[in-house]
Amino acid sequence: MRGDRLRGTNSGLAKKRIATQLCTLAICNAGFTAALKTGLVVPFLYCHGCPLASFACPMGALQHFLGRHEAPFLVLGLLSLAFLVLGRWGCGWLCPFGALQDLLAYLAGRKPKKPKGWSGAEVALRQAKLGVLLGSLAASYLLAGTTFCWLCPVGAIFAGIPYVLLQERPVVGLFFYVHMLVLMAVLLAAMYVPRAWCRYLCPIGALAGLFNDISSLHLELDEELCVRCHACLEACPMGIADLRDLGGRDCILCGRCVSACPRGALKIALRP
Amino acid sequence: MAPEGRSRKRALVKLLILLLSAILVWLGADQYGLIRLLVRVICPSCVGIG
Repeated sequence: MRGDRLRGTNSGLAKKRIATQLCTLAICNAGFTAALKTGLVVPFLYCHGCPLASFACPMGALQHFLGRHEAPFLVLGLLSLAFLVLGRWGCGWLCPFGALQDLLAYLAGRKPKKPKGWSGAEVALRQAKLGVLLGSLAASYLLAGTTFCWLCPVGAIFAGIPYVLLQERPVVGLFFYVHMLVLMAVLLAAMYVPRAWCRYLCPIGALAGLFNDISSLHLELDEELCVRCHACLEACPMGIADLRDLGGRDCILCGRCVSACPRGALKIALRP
Repeated sequence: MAPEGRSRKRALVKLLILLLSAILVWLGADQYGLIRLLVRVICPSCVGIG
């Protein structure tokens, strides 16, 4: 059965997650008129270049202000408030690009692997997303442009492709093809490594992950109920390989581990 | 560290970040005239103050 390939896919929690992801995609594309374009940032990557975008991309907004050599007070304040409550929950439950990667991993039907400890290279690769965040923001400040957006695969799929489809005579430049190449590489990677973009490269995921240790929404493991069967780790799309890392910076609180646990030792809970 | 101590430390860090976030939102709102706009909506006669 296909659901067995990615444990927890058929649970009630999974249905709720998919419904939330679809609703978010619809709400993000509700900007039919100027009045519906809120200008507020969302706590995940979503390109405001999309023709129907109703919210602003946090990365785009940060870069915009830094490129103008202005302090992005409001964006940083709103993001930290959101991450303080949600942590990386938005990556697992709201992000449309994350949902697309989930779909690709499901269609590719790759069997879950037995969790092995992370190698040194894996640990270093997982830090790359922080490098992408800081490097992009520094480059935006120095080059006075939205440098990350030049390569962003999320912008490619939610803004670049719709833009070309909606134009009668689309004018595409070199960056459109660069975007498409990056997009194809990321989507192909997501078929082999679930949530590859979220694991290694997403700058907003890196920023949100810093809040996971203190966020109100968090993953709770009942040590007394846990029998160390590691079904949770086998189900994890982020490839978390150690029980101690559940709920850590790489956890997107998607709840697959919660559904996979035969003893009900895990739950997504709120803490003060 | 004991779980209780860890939870207290977490609550303190969270409170500090919450305070910092509130300051950032206030500064940001001020930067774009949102506070002035809000005052104008709530109390039109107060707009001239400050």
